Amino acid sequence: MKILAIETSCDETAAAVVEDGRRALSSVVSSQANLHASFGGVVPEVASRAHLQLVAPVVDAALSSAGTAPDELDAVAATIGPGLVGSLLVGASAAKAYAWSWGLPFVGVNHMEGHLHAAFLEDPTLALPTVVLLVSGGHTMLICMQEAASGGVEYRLLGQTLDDAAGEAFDKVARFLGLGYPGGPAIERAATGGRPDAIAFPRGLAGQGFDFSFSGLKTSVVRYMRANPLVPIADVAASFQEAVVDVLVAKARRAAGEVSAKAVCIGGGVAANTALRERVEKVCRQDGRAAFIPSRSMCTDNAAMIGATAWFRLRTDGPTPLDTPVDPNLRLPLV
Amino acid sequence: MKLLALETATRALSCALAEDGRPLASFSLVAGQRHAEVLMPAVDHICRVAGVAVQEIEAVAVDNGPGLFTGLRVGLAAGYAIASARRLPVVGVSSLEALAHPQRRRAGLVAPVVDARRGEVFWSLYRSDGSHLEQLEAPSVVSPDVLAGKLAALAKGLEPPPNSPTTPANGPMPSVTGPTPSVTGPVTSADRPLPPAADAPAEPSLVLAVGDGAWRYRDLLGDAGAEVAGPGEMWPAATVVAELGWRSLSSQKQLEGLPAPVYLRQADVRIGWEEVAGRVGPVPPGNGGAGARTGSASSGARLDM
Ligand SMILES: [Zn+2]
Repeated sequence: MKILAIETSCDETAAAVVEDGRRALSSVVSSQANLHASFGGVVPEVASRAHLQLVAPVVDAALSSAGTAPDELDAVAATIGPGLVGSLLVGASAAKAYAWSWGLPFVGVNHMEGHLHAAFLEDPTLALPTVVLLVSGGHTMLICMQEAASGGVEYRLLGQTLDDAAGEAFDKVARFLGLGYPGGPAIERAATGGRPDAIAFPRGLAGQGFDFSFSGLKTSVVRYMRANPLVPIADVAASFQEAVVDVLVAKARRAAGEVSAKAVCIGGGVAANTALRERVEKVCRQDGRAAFIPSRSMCTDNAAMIGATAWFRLRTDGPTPLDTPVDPNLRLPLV
Repeated sequence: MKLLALETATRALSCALAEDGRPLASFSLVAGQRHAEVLMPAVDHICRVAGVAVQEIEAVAVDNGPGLFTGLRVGLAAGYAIASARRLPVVGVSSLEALAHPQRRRAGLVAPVVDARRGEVFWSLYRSDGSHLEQLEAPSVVSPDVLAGKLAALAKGLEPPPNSPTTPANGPMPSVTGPTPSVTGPVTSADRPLPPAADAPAEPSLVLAVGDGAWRYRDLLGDAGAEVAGPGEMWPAATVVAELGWRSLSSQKQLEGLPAPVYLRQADVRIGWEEVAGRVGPVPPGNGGAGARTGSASSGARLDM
């Protein structure tokens, strides 16, 4: 079964063709990062305008790079939330119209569930339960993916951020340090050669449950810089990154132990961070647990993960009616 | 030629199937903000009741603005997708022309006015000779007060109507280039009257203001001397978009790409922190945060802006 999937929840216009929920035949991502860089963040109206302009060419590119003709498709899927409402509307409206034009079922997909399913695209044998650390500019969550009694997959929320998302903290600190946008890669570059142990930034909520807090860390970077204006930026960036990675990995590791997870998986834009990837691998090795570190293109927003989820949802829930609205605050179906 | 027309540029929504400009079926609803929920079920419905299969549709016409951005994009995204899925030509039709067109039998000036929210309106000016419309002023966004001033000057004959038809102005988005609008409307240049001499007293012109913007500011525009069309005529209709789209397609040899949205207003570049933060669900108070994401995407296949 081949599904064409469209993802436009934030600032990437993406389309993919996915076979049987496990194999991406194509995955095209057109990033608007350059477009938003001068504003220091994603501008919703600018993003919506760009999505409209890009959606049909990106779909064409996904079909042609997969070598898939429309009459070989079995469904058309799109992200219907969470995300920026104007951006979601472009992708969902286009997907509904493609589905109708080809007489195919439409499948509306939860973007977060997409991130969780991204793992299956690269490791179809991924064993459950798995603890997934989902970290991006919009979300910071620890989720246990486990087998449902019905035979499918279900999600249990173990913890989430109480204030800023991890990626948001990267963006804010990068902006404060004058390193530019997006903040993740900017901090990572600036941290090269810096000493991660130079400054002892706080680890928010360390040792307490599985929830996260990053706003105190950001404040403390600001306070430290004001007090020590001559400190090398590389040291600040490296120490900040270390504080984020520390707290993310410590909690994911403890959560994996608590639910006896067979593996730890990371996803979301921040999962492209090298320090985080290396640390997750290291602690999993120490604990004798599988680490699943998807390729960077599967961590950041893409449509292949939406196609993978759509295949799963189509089997469990059937097609999504064409009158289904997008929901900027759509929640993960949790148990 | 069987054509599907989509109209989502205002709070109203409509869609129509037409054959050579003649309506076969149509649907309309004041959808508020539910365009994306209603549009495709409505399209499916009119095709079913008209007994027209998707495969029989030969062209798509879409209202490409000016109008409310979010609704406008729902129709355009759907129009692009249908046209692209079935390899059909897609033509853009101005919301303002779609409003003015039904008034063309009435000689005089017609000012289509679409409510642009934030205390502004989109408008343009047409003159009818009793059968054809000629665009006198390109679409623009103004405050209702400015519009009232312009209409008052026209109504009192203080100012002759402009005579050179102008090309529709498209508000380009910063640093993203798009195809230019492919429709300029049926401008009848052959029978255009000569401009009056500069010192000749202008004739008082009866101005008919039509559209949801005209209706909303009917008192203000009425005081300015304009006649305001009733609420029954305040929405552009997909049947009219179908007719204008069909005419435009029949007169054009070749379509250049997809019709671009006519925004007329620069993108608001304030960062929607709360919107982006919405991705984590309810955000506790005190999250005064930035909201962009981290990580540079890379993928096997990649398109660049
Ligand atoms: Zn994401």
